[in-house]
Amino acid sequence: MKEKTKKVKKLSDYNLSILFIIIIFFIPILTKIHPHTDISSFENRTLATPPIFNRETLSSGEYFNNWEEYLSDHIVGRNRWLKLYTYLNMNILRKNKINDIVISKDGTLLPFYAHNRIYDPETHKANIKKMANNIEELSSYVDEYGGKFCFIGIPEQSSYYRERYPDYFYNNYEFLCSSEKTMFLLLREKNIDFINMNEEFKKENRDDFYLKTDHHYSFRGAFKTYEKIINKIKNDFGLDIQGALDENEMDIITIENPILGSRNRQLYYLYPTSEKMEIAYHKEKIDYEKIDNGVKSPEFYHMEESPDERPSYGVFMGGDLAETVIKTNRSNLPNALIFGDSFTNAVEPLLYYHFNETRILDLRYYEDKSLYKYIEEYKPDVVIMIRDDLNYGNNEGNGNFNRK
Amino acid sequence: MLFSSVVFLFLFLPTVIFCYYIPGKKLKNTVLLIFSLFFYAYGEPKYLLVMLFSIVVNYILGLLLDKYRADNTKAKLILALAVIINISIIGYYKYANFLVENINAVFKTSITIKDIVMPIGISFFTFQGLSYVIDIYRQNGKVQKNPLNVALYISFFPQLIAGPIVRYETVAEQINKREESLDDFTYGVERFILGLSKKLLIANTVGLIADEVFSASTSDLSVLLVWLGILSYTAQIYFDFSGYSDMAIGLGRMFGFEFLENFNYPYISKSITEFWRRWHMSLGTWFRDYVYIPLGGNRVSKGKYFRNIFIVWFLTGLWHGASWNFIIWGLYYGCILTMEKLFWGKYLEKVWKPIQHIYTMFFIIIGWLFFRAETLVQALEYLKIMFGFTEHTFINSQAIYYLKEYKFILILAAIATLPLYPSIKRKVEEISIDSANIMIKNYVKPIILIGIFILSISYLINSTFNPFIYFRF
Repeated sequence: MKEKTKKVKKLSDYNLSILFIIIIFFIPILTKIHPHTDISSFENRTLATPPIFNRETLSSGEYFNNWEEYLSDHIVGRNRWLKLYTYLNMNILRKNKINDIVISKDGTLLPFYAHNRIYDPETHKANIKKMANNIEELSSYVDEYGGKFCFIGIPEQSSYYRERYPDYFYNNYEFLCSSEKTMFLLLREKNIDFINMNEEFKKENRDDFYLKTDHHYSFRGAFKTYEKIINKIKNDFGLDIQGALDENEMDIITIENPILGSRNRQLYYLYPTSEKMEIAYHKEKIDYEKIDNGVKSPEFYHMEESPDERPSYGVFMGGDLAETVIKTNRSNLPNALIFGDSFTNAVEPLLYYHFNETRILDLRYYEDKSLYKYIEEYKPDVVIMIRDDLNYGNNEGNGNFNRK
Repeated sequence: MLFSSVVFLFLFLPTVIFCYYIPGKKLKNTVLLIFSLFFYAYGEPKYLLVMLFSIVVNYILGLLLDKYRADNTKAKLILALAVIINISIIGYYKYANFLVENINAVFKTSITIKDIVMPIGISFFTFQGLSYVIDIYRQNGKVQKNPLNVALYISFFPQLIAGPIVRYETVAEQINKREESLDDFTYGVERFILGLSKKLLIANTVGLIADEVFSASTSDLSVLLVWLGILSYTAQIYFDFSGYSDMAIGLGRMFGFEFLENFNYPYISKSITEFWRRWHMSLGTWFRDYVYIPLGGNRVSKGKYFRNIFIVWFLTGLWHGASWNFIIWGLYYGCILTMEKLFWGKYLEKVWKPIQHIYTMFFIIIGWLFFRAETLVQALEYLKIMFGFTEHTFINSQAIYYLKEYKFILILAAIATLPLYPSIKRKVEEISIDSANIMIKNYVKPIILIGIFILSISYLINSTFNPFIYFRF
């Protein structure tokens, strides 16, 4: 019976096997021959290095296990595979949380916080207290030689837009409220000058202070921060500087191509956005000399070379740098030191205008000397610390003033 | 090594296929054995010795059994020795810590032993070793004179780590003589892709829900959240384990082996008795043929019948893990099966079918709660929350989050528990128009399956959550 129904087999009867074999044989061959990179710009991390072979790694199983990580990191078309995953989840499964990014109804991209995220309020408060003590010590040190210190607290994008989380997502509310309340209560008790930009932003409740697809503020948010800082220095510290410039005194330029935001990067830039970046130049020009990490670099904004390329927040000052020095050679004006994470980048092209010499440090990368030594050497008239509210209790990086 | 890993898919599998099909027939078993030993050594090289010891012991005892077959007393003694040695291996590595803990708790002693790490897959390869000697004793399979064939039977990589438990009588002849064909290979590829997708697309995703719910503090739970957690686990364990079995069966078929099925859509069962005929069938039949029937099965007095049921389900629970949770889970099923047989089984058959399904799923889900919970206390606490015996709210934001974010995958999981795929396949085969039939079989089906395979790879590369549940056992 079987013989009767047996038909002549054709190659197309085995299409499945042929395609399967092509995939499992060609992917490793292509992986071997295509050039490997060390860093994934999308994932913002260093990719795995080849496993090290020795007796210990072999017997513990570590050697073989590391192969999995290495191959997964360097598989041919890795970004395409990950984009496919992201596309499927975003557009077919219609998920609002993909790759730890939450997509809000109005298109704001926010970080995902697990519902059972555990943070110990007491430890968190203790960390902020330690930070406040360190700030008090630094502020006293600056006071001693006649300088002025000011702490600028900036809400991070997910903090500013915390109400935009869909109802069923955890928005980190308790952590953020506790951070803000604890930090500024302590600074007030210690008589340290500060600006809480969260309160300032809330007064105007504008939609354009922050980027929707990046974790930073926009030019508008940075401009508001600049205004508050300059007014504080001029009015409260009594330093003789020009008041904050009005928007009319600036040439504000909108970069045509939509932004490549850091949140969207986690979605492999698959989230459609028309959000654009703004930058500004002073209408009334002044002479200046700008040195980045010891190298002359006159540009405040690093534009993409090709007109088709999309800008990122890195446009401001070319991204995070260990040290930037901007000299305007106007010795009648005070000197300033600004230190902080990437939130400093967008205010730097605005602030330098008001000082003789502006020095900017990012303590995450600056390793020549400690902050105290730096201040001792240059004795700036005003020291400005810019910190985002997710890091009020973080005593590392720009929260570690003694690190060399 | 995991089947759902980049190393397996893109290094191990192509290499083993290449090496298997290139040399002549004589080397095929040797190739499979070498790759199987490497497969095992990949994760834990030092435990390879444990498996090799098991292979050597079972090979020698198999030869002795064959030699002294005529002398029943000697044969029985050899068989007993084989059982003792195999049980000792699994007993030492899997149950010694548990035994000492219980002795200390009961007798208030403080016996300490060094922390023993369980070699991966020991429950599976030990049971296969036992199957080899018992089947030789029963003359259900010929003794293997070539030790490499015994080694291959026990260590063959598709079923080595998480089953199915392949009984020696099933593959005894295939080890020596089997025919590979492109049809078999294609069928194997189909099963492998389906298994991989079950694991990566469904099990891992719903597994995240289950893990997050079971790791949440009790105060953060709600009634619906616990139900979602346990339903997700119910889906996870099925798609994880049946996915692995599909991959194992598929891989076996690629190399010409035909393993018996391990799952047959268990969640469509209309009774717990039926469920255990459809769930982990290789374990169920192993205990039936090697424990339950030798004890007398149900052809004994009622007292002995209860004893037999108790022993089998106690052992089934214990086989899954050295913990009271698993033992209680096993006995729980022993009780329900007894009740079905003695009391309500015949009435159950007469009620409306949806009621039969609800009844069955209810007891399965409660069973999984005891299986998944870290402790008995947690299981009981969750049980109370599920049925409203606590102050917990009915719904909270975390439950809504899972419902909204995972709605499609939860629906897909529910649909995929139904036997739709074989039903569609049957319908396609019934299509009488040749051209349509060929179009579907040769083009539509491969494209869909390769599409699923590509999606699975994208999930694999994106995945950081990839555990196989049955590797624990």
